[in-house]
Amino acid sequence: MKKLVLMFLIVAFFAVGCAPKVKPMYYWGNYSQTLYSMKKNPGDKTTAAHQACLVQIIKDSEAHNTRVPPGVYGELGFMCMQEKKDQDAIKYFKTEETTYPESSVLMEKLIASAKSDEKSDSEQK
Amino acid sequence: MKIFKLAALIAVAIFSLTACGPNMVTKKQAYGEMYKEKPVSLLVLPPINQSTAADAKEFYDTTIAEPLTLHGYYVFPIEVIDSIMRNEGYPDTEELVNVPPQKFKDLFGADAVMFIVIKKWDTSYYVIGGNVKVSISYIIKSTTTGDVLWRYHDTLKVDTTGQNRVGGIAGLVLQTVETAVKTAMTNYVPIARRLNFIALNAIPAGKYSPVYEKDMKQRISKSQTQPEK
Repeated sequence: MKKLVLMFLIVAFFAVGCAPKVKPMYYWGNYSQTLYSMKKNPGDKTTAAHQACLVQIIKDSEAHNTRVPPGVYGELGFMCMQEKKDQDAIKYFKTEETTYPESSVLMEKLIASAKSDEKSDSEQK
Repeated sequence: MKIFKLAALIAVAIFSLTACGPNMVTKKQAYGEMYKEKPVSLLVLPPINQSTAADAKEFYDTTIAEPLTLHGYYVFPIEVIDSIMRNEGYPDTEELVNVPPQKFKDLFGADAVMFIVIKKWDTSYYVIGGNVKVSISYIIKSTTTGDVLWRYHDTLKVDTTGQNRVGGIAGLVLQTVETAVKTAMTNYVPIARRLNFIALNAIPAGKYSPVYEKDMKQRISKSQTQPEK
């Protein structure tokens, strides 16, 4: 009887041995693919697709309660800056900086340049 | 006598199994400096392309950020860095190696820089087959001391020989055509991804990794960690 219980316990142990699910560190989605397409066929369509991918990565990460991968806010901010959406750009750069303090030298630089772009744009108007 | 023979056989088998021992090192032995300095942020510089494929560099760039972050590093957004460096007139050739790594600490606040040299990114055909070869050398340098913290190089060759089973000359002709088509279609990017996967297995885990400072005893191939001849 004791043996049977022991055996049962061993079997149970092995059965659950592989159970704990490892949560992925980051959700990168289709990042590599959309970036590749953008470089292979540069244009509005592929650029929009890559930008949508970055937005999706942020959504997925929030949904799974994981950190947004390094550089994603920064890259999205940079794309916004190129579209002259400087307010959005600044917002993303700041989020990158708070998520990853290591990025602060670069982010402060980008924030400064987005601010000066914004200023020169409004002066032109 | 029989037992003796058996024992000898087992001894030989064990010997051949462990024969690769001296060629293996632990991560700690190979990259002690990296464990000491503990860089958190990595700046991936635009790859230096020594291959004959002009577009290798741009396409390679799409494959490296993701696996590096999964090994626990903060990786500066590569597209942003490339663009800034282009605007500020940094060389995108071998001359990049001559820029003192310390410079990238001032410019971007990076703890370390990663140089990538694409040595081969090419296709070869021969009568009855073909293959695609990607060969890359990775070097991480400290932006504090300028020393090499991590170094790894490897080559991946993927056979693209067609697999049809028609015999004779007709079969050979068919196979040659099939090989050419298959080789042309084989994308380099998945091969580069696999190569990154293999190479980065040898990098000490970074701050954001669950195995940070717990992977020092992991064994890796020694020859890939040595400077190339």
